[in-house]
Amino acid sequence: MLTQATGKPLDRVDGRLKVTGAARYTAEWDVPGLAYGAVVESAVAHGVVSALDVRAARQAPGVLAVMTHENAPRLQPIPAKVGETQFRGEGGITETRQPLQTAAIEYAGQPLAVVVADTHERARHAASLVRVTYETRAPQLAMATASRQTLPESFLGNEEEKLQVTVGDPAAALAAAPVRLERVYESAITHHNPIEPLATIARWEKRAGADFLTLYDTTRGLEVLQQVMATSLGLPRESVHVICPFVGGAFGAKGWLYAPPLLTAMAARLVGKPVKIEWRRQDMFAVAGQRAATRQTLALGATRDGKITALRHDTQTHSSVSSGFTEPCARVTRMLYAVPNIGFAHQLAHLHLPSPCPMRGPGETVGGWALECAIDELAAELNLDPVELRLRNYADKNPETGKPWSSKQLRQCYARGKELIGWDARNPRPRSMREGNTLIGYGMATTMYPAGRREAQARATIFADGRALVQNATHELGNGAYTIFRQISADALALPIERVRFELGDSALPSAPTTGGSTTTATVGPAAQQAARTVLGALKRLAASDAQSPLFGAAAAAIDAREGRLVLRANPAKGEEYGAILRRAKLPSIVATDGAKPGEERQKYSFYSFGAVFAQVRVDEASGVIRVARLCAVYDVGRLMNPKTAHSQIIGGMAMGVGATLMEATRYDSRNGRAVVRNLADYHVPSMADTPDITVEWLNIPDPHISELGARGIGEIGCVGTPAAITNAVFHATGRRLRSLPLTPDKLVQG
Amino acid sequence: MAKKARIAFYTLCKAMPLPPESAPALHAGDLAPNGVLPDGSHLLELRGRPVILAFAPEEWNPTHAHQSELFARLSREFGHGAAFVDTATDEWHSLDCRGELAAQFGVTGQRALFLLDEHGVVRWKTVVESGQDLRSGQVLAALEALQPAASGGARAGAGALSRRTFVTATLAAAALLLLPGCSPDSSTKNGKDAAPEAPVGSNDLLAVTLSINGKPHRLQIDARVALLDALRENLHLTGTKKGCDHGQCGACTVHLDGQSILSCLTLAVMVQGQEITTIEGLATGPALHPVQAAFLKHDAFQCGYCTPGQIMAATALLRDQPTRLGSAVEIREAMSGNLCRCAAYPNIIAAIQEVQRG
Amino acid sequence: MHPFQYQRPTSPAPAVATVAKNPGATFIAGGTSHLDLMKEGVYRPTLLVDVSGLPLKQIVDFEGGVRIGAGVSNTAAAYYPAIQQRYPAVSEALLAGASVQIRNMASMAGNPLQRTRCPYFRDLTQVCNKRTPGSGCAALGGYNHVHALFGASAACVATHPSDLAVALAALDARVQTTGPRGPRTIAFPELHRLPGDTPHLDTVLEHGELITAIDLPAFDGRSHYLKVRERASYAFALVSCAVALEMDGPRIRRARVALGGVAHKPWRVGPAEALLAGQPPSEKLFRAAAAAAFAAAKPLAHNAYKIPMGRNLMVRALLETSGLQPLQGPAGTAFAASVGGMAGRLATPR
Repeated sequence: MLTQATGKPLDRVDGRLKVTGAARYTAEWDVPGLAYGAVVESAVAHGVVSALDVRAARQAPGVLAVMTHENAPRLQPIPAKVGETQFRGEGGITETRQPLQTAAIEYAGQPLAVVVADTHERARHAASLVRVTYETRAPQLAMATASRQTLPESFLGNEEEKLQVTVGDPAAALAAAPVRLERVYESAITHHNPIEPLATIARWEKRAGADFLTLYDTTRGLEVLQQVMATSLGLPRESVHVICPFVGGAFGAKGWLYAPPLLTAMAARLVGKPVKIEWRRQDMFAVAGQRAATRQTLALGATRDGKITALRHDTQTHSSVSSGFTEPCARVTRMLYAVPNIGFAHQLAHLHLPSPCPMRGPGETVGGWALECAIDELAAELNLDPVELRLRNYADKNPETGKPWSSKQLRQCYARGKELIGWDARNPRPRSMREGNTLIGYGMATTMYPAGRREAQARATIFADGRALVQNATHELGNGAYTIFRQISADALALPIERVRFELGDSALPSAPTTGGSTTTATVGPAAQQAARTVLGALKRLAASDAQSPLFGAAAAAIDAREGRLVLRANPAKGEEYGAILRRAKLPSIVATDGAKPGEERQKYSFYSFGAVFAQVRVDEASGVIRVARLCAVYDVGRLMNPKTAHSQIIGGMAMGVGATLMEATRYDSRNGRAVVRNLADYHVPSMADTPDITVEWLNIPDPHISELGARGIGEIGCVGTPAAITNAVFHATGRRLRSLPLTPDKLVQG
Repeated sequence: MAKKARIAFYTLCKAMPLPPESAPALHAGDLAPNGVLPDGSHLLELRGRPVILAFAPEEWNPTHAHQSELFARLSREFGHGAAFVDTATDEWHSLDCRGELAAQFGVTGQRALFLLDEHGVVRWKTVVESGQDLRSGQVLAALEALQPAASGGARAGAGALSRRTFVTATLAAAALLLLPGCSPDSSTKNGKDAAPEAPVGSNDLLAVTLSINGKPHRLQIDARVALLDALRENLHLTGTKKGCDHGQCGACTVHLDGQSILSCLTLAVMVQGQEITTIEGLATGPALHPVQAAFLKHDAFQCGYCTPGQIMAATALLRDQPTRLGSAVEIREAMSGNLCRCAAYPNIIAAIQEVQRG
Repeated sequence: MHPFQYQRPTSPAPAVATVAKNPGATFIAGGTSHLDLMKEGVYRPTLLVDVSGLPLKQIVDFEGGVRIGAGVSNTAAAYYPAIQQRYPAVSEALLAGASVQIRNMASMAGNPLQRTRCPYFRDLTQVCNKRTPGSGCAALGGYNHVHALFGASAACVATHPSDLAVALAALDARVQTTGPRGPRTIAFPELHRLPGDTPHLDTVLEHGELITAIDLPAFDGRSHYLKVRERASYAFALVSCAVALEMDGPRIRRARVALGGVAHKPWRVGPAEALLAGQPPSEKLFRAAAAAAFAAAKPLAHNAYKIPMGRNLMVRALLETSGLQPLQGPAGTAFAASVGGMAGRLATPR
């Protein structure tokens, strides 16, 4: 029964806590006896620490210890794989370097020491007193000239995400194509910059004579972090407890890089006190992960009437020295259009830069930008309407695998999006629309996102007073998890939402995967439903076996749960409240843990969400300033669990797409690898003044195959598509193609 | 694991048809009543050992149980066998029990901490200000009250209480009683060479009085302490957020004499004598401030981290409404000092406009 | 942050005396720039002399102009009716800078004294002559996207980030100070200096010299400020331009133009001003003036874009100030100052 709460635009259940400042984030736990850690970072990108003079720091007031590679606790290697995710090696997700184990330096900003003191101010000051002597080597900082280049086989070890693929014969098809187009698109390094900085509090204690670590950490991957900490520190997994009920934004960060929590745990062990390390915003540009820069070559072959016959998408990107993470730029190219000959490759340069990691729409955001800009260029070349060109190449099945889509209504998205923005009312000729000094342009792009689903467990408890609790170790990072899983649980338990709670953010709760890849709803929702079903089944059996129950003797299949009561399906008047059954049995509660995982539908269908994004831009060519005036988008993302929180997530993603398009870039000094953009004054994330009017509509058509809920994820699709829609609108406004993100004023301004 | 234990704790409580009438508040020297605890046992059963009893109001807060568990550990480590009973540990499942017990202690709807001695006599009590959480300093103060000689040094028979952990405890107590700056025991330091040469002013703690949300707070702090850190670390008013610490995001916005300012770029010592308002002090009663209510209604946040800063900025602007804030474009410009990476901006504008319309 | 002592005098004289005799001492007022740089470790004062309690918070009419106390907040000055109406460039520059919160905190004297946004100045691991004299200039051969076109030296290519300072330079504001050698008046265009081989000195102020007021001289012309930035709000200028235009019937009697974001100080463009004087305003004239203004520009590896951007901006500022083109928003507001299609559209009357 999914009609009471699920799908309703309810206010966030954690909203009151958030608007009153009572929601507690990681750095805010009141841990008795807390000491503060401050980190000393490497000034150079490549070399060796030849000497560390920590005397002044040690003698500074309040200092408890200075931890360096010389006295830091030893760590075990990072695991090769956690769950299904490849950790080490080319295409793996994380860096293999463990912090403070050697004197080697692989990027500027690498932690070289942690100073622990009794106050934040004293720790930070003492850290400034550490003197490091380097034996500096020349860093490799340019993708084009890097000596170590690899061709990673697959993304994160996933067999379905090969990174070097050829379908058909793209080379021959390109050579034979009547219309050919080859373009190079470049994108800069960007940073997630959630407003909550990374933080960890680590507390060691003895439990039953053995070491036990409690970790409060800004993480969207409780279980993976628990596993990594346990492996690295040589502890049984049960001896690490990770707690995080609120994450202050992640966007791909806070999941896959572990130096921050490891350093905190090591420092706490060294000083024998709980330690907190709050990373400065400056540090976030070194240790928090980033989206790598890309240089993408798109080659398209087409017939004169707009049938694309060949598509090549070759990406040069980079990672750090010790990570194999590869921005999978062809994720969109491989599936979006019905092209018989598709080829793509990803070449990875290993540089002396901080490690990259996923960032909202990994691959899709910048790879989709390049593809959808190239498609727009082809449309102009063919003198076709950009929407029409896309319709002529509409894929009715996945072109790479040949599998049918689980559900795809993209045509409706295009049609409705055109209406919303007023597409047909524009003058399609580039550089034809002007208001005073301002050139006006319209652009569009297709957007998509894979609709993944994973396995999860949940525990459902019904109490004798008729209330219920559902628990799962997932995360609240603004995605609305507390709210939508309470909605789903309430419906699954046939209880009003006020009588149900959903708990998360604790590694001791039943298993949930890392919150990422827009999979959480499709993963945790069914698990909550299944646990609810199982506990109701047990309650039915209890009632049926109780001679005093009106349901005595009834088969479980003949009993329904309705509005907090178990009733006979044949005669709903006959039944009783959940609490009554338990109270009579003298049970305070009844509990069930159960799980759900994807089945063979994953082999039968290709699961994706789709959408169409339309942008109107205003360009002041004299200054080079581009502002997005309007964004309109229509999405086919399955059924919405809560239109209110979904709307927020989507517009937030689109605004992040505005940032990626117009302003976000992290620069490193090309001589020494130091970040020269390393604060929020120089790294521009969109402000309220940059955010346009955004109109979002949904088809709200349930996906019949993904799960009983019919919901695909929505966390990332907003960010994808928006950059190309804006870039294509800039072309329409100015007649000029800008092929390098971000589109800052310096790139457009002309004498 | 912990959660399971909490569920197992649950004992059936009869539903109470009416909210309990609150008794007069208990004070030091009073004999505690024999109430029912969340696990179904009676307070009387704990006679013979000290009991720290913590009350919390009936608000859902998923962080409460974890924090409470920390305090229970603190009691176990330093409490000489004291039992820590949190009447909200099982918040969701024992509301009925708690209501009764809180009423018996005269603290219905309040956050309060009682220390009972082994005879069941109230030895110490504190009521936490509304909008704030119970703090470890207060739990430690209760433990200190239990053993006034505790700060005199290590005691024989303290069991697991090592010299080191004892220092930890007293330091923490000192810090949270707002007397930081006492040097840690020298045995905890690695360097034992010459006495450290104190940089200028390093040991000069300043007596600072801050007026926050209408109440004076006396602190002994380093001149370096920013108002933001004084709020978060010294006073544990963590609603004010640290996003960049350099005036580049607006998450730390508070009001100073009614104007919005950035607490990260304000030294605590410089704002004595001025009235500071934080998110905790915005609503005067249990009802939300209209801007908070509008943010909730319009979903003007996602992760919630920048939200207190957004709300403080918005409330200050709305006060200036006739001259400074009119159209959506003016709201956009005026609110641009508060970055929201979730980009709830359109909803924030809608929330502010709703309050504007009145 | 390094430890320091703190004092809060209640009148200027002891404040000046205290700082003057203590080489490690510095004034602090709004703190928005100081505390930022102290946290970065760039500033390491041993004594902070808090001047926020000094009685310097009045704005008064003065000799046909306006005298603004040094401690007046940026917000208070920006919305002061006489300033908003008679010196809109000042309000526009103030309101186009930083954020509401920072403007509430920042003082009028502190704003023009803020330090450069050169990233190397703020990163202690990099060399910087402005931070550590004699250490070298990392920006010269490094990432110099936001750096100077004019007046730079081999020792420093930094730019001055204040918006307000550009407007004050165009209006020939006067700075009143009191120092160890008594009071003096400094013409605003002379307050800031070029880097030469002593880039650690941003201004001509002596150690211990305290700004007490900023005077806007009598002015019956039009003034205007325009700013280009990468983000629509809460961002420093790539290039900015302040214009003060006095007309004599159909002709320009005197034009003063200052450019921001292009030099170590607000950059007055004398040759261009001379070209404009006595001429009737026209786009052609303004283009010629802008060409003259940028003729001597010396771009670095990453900042050549500022030449066309600055030229275009100067033309636009002159067109808007002279009334040949409409302002993009109400005079004296951030909307008038912000270049960009969106700001213009949204600033149209509601």
